[in-house]
Amino acid sequence: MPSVQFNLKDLEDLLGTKVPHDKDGLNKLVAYVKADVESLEEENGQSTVSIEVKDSNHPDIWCVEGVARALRGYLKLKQPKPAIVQGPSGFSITIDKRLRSVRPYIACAIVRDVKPSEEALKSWISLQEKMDQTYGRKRRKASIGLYQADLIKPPIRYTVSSPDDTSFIPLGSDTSMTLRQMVESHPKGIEYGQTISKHDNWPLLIDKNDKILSLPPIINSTDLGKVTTETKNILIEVTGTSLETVQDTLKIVVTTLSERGGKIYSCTQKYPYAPTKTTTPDLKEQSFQVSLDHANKLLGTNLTSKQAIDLLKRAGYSTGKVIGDKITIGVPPYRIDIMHQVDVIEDIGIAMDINTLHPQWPGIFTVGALTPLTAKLDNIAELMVGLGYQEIMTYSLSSPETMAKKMNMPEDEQIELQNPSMTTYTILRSWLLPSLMEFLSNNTHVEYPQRIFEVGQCFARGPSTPTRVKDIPKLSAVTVHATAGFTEIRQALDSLLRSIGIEYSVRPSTHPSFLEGRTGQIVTKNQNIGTIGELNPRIIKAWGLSLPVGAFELDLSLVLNLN
Amino acid sequence: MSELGENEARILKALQESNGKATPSILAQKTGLADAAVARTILNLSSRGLIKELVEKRTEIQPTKEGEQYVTKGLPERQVAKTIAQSGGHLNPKEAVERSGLSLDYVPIVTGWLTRKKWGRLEKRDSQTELIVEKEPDKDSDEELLALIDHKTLTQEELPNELIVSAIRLIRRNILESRAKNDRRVEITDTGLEAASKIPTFSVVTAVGTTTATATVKVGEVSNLTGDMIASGEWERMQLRTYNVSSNVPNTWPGRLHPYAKFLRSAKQQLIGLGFQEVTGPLVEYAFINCDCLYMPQDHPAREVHDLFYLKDPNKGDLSIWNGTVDRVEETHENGDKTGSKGWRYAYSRQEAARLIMRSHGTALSVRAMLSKNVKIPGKYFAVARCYRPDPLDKTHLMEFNQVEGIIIDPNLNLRNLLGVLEMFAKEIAGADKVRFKPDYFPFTEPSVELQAYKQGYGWVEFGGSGIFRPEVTIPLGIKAQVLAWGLGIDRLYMMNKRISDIRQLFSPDLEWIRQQKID
Repeated sequence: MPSVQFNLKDLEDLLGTKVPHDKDGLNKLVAYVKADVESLEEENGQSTVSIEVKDSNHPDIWCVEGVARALRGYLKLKQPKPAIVQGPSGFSITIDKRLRSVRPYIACAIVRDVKPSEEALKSWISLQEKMDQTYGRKRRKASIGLYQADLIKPPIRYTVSSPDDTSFIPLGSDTSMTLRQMVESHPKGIEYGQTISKHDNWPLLIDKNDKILSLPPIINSTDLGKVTTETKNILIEVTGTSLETVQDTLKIVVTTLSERGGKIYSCTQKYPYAPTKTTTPDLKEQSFQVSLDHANKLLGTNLTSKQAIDLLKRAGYSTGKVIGDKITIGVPPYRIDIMHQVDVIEDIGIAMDINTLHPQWPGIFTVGALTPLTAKLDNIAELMVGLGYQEIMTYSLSSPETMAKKMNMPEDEQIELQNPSMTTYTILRSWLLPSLMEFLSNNTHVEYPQRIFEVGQCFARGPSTPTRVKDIPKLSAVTVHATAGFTEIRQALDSLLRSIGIEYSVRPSTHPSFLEGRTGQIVTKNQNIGTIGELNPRIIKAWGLSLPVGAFELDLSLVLNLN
Repeated sequence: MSELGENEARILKALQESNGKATPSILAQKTGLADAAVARTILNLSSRGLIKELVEKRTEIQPTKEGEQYVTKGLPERQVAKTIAQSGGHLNPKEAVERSGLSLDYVPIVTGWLTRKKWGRLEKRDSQTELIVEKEPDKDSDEELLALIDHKTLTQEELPNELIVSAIRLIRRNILESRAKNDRRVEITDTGLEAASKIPTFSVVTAVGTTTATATVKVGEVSNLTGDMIASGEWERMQLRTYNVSSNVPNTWPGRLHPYAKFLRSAKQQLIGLGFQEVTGPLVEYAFINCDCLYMPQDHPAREVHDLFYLKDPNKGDLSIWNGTVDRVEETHENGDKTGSKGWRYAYSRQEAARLIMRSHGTALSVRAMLSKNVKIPGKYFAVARCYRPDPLDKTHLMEFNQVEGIIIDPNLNLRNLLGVLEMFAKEIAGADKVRFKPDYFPFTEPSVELQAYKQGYGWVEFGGSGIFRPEVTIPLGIKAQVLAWGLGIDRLYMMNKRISDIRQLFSPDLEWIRQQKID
């Protein structure tokens, strides 16, 4: 979730009004933009606030300018005129056909008369980073570059170069580097290099005089691509693999800059492939229809069209004709999140303040129940408790060390995670007893006897299961104390299975974790449903225990005849 | 008779070597076993009739705080006698007490004891009462006892008779205090002796300074009331040994449900009470069900490796069983299909949809409920879902956690109903005093609402997320109704109730903690 930092004074300047300076008050305020206050710090009379915006599909509010724009509506403050394109900038961009398979799309614009404050620069750089990361999918789908427009001579060429043939001084460096050196050693190259490194030719932006603007989407040149508080006219360029994302990203950046008084001028892109020619940015509103009936039905309200129109305006939409229950609205160019009328209807609800809606428990009569499986598993847990066993809860992720090595079991057939987050949790557990042993090993200082059990999910390959992995509920119980042994654990098993009406026998067998001559398979109707016995002292020792251990494990899917 | 364990053998042997009787602490010393182990072994041996446990009462005496001073300085009557003898044999009582450095409160006490002990006497001289002590008196038995005790503890029963009288006197004077003690002693039985004689000798720590125990069992006394005695009425003619019913007994731990598992079960019961039906589903899930069906675009950052556990092998599931649904979901992602939406506008990949992951949120089970052939409209479904997220395990993160999720399906549901559901949960399940709502965001709901609950002593706590499923979710799944979806932070609620600050405590590896949790 994007986090947005800004100075409260800056927000107040953008809003043209005071805002609360306490956390509660601010939280209430930023609720309109689905945000929480993460931190609020005051230093030298300046309050800096950090908010977390929950909406990951609403990049226009990932900066203070956008937050202010949205709040102006909800607070019923005066809205400035919507941002428009003042006219053509005279800049055009020609695109090399070799980019088609590398990074095909570009959209540019120029914003004049900005002279950004320190605050504004910070905000824009942070917006740029957040959009590159999330909306631009780590600069693959779209990435943004800002330049000093006055130093660039049009037309600009969006072309390619072999990684070793071109060099320039990138931002954050004093020396000239080849493109390859940048991707291999510049921090931004290391971070984003993979977006282009697989290609033979890499994208390059050059002006009429062969001055290099940047290696998109990695890094700008320090000559042209460094925007400061002295920069009056800014060229914005967005390149990427999705034309729509590239153009939408540009809309958000230019409208953000215009919130600080910048004037927007368009650029023209000429492609040797579709879309052939584009003029960007396109700041026309999108026409959209909202059904008042649907809105009232979804919100549980009785809004008149007049009330709805008032709320829609507060939420930043322009409104047009009303025909029947259909309200025609204009969606501002930066609202790239609007996909369905429900998105607009929610904004009506937010503009009303959802806390003003009267909650109403839906009077729908239904009969509740557990699934039969849960009910059966709960019954088994209850029986084990009656037998004096303490229930425990363990993780279903584990490691080959726990599941196999320490249990003297073969390490094959493990179901591994592709991206484990810890080296001790890399596989899906196949049986429960190791989880119980791990638990016991943590509790050797605790008073004995220790009798524990778990009813828990284990996993096995299931070629005929649609998800290829079967969840298998299992039960394992363990008794540990000075005189623990086969008879005691067998009594528990016997009592349990008798209580649920399972006839069974124990057939002598061997098991790598159990003591030979004191272990057996639990068999019912000629099906092996589990193992019981005294643990092999070597296993006991491997877990750091020094008392005899009686244990059994049952496959409850077989016991409960679920398959 | 079954064989003796090693500890049992050691204890029997040690008992045999102590003339058949010893206290548990001596046995611990002799055998080198821990006290708890000795206690357990004694229980085992006595249940097998190899030893008998005897309880001996004794009285421990030790100086009180006041008494401690007298151990060093002497009794007050001694101090005053000394002062008088050294000042010529007679002094005014007040003066004598003051000169001895005692407060005037002592005047009557000291005068009383001096005369009772015949160390001095009161006499009227020149119309003044004076205390006469001609010479420093000899040590008496009270002082002997004090000297013997020094600053330690003694057993009253072990004192010679004359000192017992002193002890009683000094206890009354609050110079000494006494405490009743029960000494457990263990005595080997004949069968025990027989068993002990069969034990091969092994090195046993040599006992140091044992005391001879005295049996307190009276002749003709029996300790065990047997079935035979009851049936024959013989018990009436017997003297049943009395037990010290106030003495402590060894711990025993009952089998119990895990406290957190119990909490989850009770949450289920509450939801059943509200008419919700449980849904279960696989822990290894398709990305399709976990994400695509919830209208999360396939290249969304929330689907990367730091948010989902992917399986290595097998890594893809069989999507063919969901064929029609996959078609509709694909179209909806790409262009909105028949949902009235613009869609996400990208090229949908069935390969990506088929990838296997560990279920990352309970909402996957709400999808399972809607996909079920048996789904009812109207209907209410819930799940208490184990979920997985590739976080490193620490104080605030678990890789495995629980979510309580649910849906209500009906053609006529709205945002106010959603708020009603949230309010009900906050008040009924969390015991919240007040609630408030905040706009929220999930890719699969619109509108979306965060529930905040106020609880006295906690303030406002974020309690859950909710919303109304987007048409892009319900229509491809074939649901022609509104679906209210909610999820509650059950882990957080439990931690709040139990005042737990470390989330790892939920799957507590600490048996002691589990055993000590009180049942509310």
